[in-house]
Amino acid sequence: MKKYILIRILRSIFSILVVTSIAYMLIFEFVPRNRVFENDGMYAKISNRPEQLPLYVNQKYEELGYLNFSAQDEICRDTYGAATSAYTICMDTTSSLFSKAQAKYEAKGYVFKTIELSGVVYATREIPMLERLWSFFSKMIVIDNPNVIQDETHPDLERKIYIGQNWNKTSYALMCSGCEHKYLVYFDWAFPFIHQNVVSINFGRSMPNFYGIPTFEVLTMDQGVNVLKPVTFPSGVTADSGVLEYTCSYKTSLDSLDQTKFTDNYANCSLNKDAPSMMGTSFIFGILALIFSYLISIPLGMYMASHKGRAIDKAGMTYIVFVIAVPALAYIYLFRYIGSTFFQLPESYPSLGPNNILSYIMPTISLALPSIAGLLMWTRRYMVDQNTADYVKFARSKGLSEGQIYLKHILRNAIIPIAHGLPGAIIGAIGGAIITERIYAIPGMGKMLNDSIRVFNNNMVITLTFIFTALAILSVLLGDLLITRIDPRISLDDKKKGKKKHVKR
Amino acid sequence: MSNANEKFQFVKIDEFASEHISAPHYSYWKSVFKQFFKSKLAIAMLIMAAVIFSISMIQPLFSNYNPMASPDISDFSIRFNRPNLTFWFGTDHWGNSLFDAVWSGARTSITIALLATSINMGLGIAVGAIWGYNKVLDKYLLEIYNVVANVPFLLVAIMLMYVLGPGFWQLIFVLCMTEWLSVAYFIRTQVMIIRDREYNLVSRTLGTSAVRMISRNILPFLTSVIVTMLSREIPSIISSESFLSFLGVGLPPQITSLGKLISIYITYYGTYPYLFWIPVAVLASISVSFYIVGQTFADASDPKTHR
Repeated sequence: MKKYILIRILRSIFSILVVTSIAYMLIFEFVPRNRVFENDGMYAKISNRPEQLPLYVNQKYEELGYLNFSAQDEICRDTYGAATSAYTICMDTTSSLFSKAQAKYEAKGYVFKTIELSGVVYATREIPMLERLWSFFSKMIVIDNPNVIQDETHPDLERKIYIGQNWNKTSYALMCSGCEHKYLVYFDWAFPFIHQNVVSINFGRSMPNFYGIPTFEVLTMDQGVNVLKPVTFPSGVTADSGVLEYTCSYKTSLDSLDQTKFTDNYANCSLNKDAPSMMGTSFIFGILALIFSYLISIPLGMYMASHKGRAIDKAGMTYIVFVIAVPALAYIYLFRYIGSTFFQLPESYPSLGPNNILSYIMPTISLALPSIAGLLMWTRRYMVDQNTADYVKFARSKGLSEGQIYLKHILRNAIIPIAHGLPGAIIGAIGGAIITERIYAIPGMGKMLNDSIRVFNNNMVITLTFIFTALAILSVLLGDLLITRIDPRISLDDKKKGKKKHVKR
Repeated sequence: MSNANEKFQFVKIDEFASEHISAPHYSYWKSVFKQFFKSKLAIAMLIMAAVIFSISMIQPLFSNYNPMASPDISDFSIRFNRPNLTFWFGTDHWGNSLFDAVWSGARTSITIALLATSINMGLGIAVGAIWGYNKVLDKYLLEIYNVVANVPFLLVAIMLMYVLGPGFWQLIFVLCMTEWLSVAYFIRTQVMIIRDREYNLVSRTLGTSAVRMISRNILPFLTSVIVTMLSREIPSIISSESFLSFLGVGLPPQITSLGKLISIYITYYGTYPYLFWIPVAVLASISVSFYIVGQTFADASDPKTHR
């Protein structure tokens, strides 16, 4: 069994990698690369300065991983070192030293271009697809260590890991100098109490929406309005601020305001805000919808089965047909309309904000509608089928009440396929989140996918594809493992013939 | 005594009648249609589907609706007219008749749904039948299926549309890209269930070829299952198409569809509700009528329901 689980985990990881790689290759190969500038404010500003435009464009392409780009000064510095006489000569494109450097770069596959207006020379090299893919995956997991920060203005930066105290001297933490983050491992009263900044996931930077922020950070940082409270900074200054000290990371140049507050360069801190992050928002809705749909559909399915052919059963069946036949777009709007007209519930999430419970009702219902239909159908069908099974007849002949038979006998058997449907419900919730978050304007991952596609934010699309795929594949794995826990008769090993096949969702 | 004998005559044995089997005449398709037309709801839905289908195929030929052109854009008097006798479904913010727009959109939505469904079903049934019959193929296809099925369909569709760019054929490609595999998987499971039944075992022992086994023994057995799938497939494709167009990754600006109309007119949800609700209602009517006709037909095509 252990071996089987290990193989399953490896296969799940393999699936995630395959799907992400295909997505990555397709996006970077087929989406025209210049479309990223369509919604870029910086590009619009620079576009009337043709001598700078190619430099900006190629620099961005390099950041996005399309090509290697070197401007003239970088070529010369690379070949002859900074502030040498050879470097100065090299900056003249007619010199022999420059042609030597050029030859060296051309051998590596670089192509040289000259900007006609300013005479500046730059070189670019297209990165082949597989090399790009490799660098994407190899940079994906980042481990913070004291040699990460290479800051020319601070060559004598201390490099060490030590145990220190936080600003208020209330707690101890594993801290670092020379790492990206100041606090590596720390404790606080928020779940899960022990937090770390050592291992982080890197998918590149977001562009053009959330310009320049790493995509994973965009999804995990808090949203909403700053929450201010009095903070005593390391320098002793006390001010009302939303700074979260544990998030502080290295900042190359400090402004005057930073200098009054901080004693070192770890001044790049996130702010405390009142709304959960995009990922958090999506998870809240996903979990609420999951709980809601199970709470409604299992009792209702049982009730329908025990009142087969009566009004409630017919109403339930009509609902199932309704959800299957009517397009999602139509019924979500219909339910939103009913909710807002008859129950005065908000039509969009931002109108009452994340801290009002009323904002959560309609989106949760919309998200749960399809999975309720599926579960209802399953539960009812199963209950009806089992009603004539021998063990049920026996229980009935013993004189047990119908309630006892349904709860103690049939439900225990029915729970297995229902539990196996759990991953399906999660996958459905992901798909549903894309629709629901768009319609209710919920700032979650589903809406972010939609927004990112509209502005051609490739890195963000890949990040979200990765997250959604990973969630879906892992939930299938967990669903399979869950049923072996619930039902000891099911074995997932290949040796026994009762191999569980995937139930069609 | 002799008188009585004279009154009777010997009847010759009727060769024809003795060969006649005294079971009532049974024709499969006749029974299917008889069963189908028993349901009044199904007849009503069939008429509705037929009416919607013919209007949406014929009306756009005469209206020449073009979403890129707004000929009456400068005439403010015919903007936001509520449904009346001249404009049956009213007019929108550019003075275009919603009646024209809706049927043009319905034509696109129905065409896409029918095309994508037939590709999915055709490919799915063909591959699924072989897949269920061939154990070597099963090993490989199952692996592919496990990777594909675990990824949410909408995510794949959105991602592919993003990569390919908007377009009619791109949309059909995306709607078929992974969906046929789930049809094939479903058929494969069904084929595996009946593959080793006695009548198939006998047939195989008698030397029936695999192709004939699949096409004559197995697939006819699955008629009602296939029709059930078909009736679910059409609403699901319509739903996906409308949703992709709604997100703006479906069709290019020069082609309209019901999903696109809904996404355009959502702005007038509060102020001019007819602009929003009419396309929604037409979209829902199309897919509900197709679904109910399909379901009833699937029930009727199951021989167990005959007689």
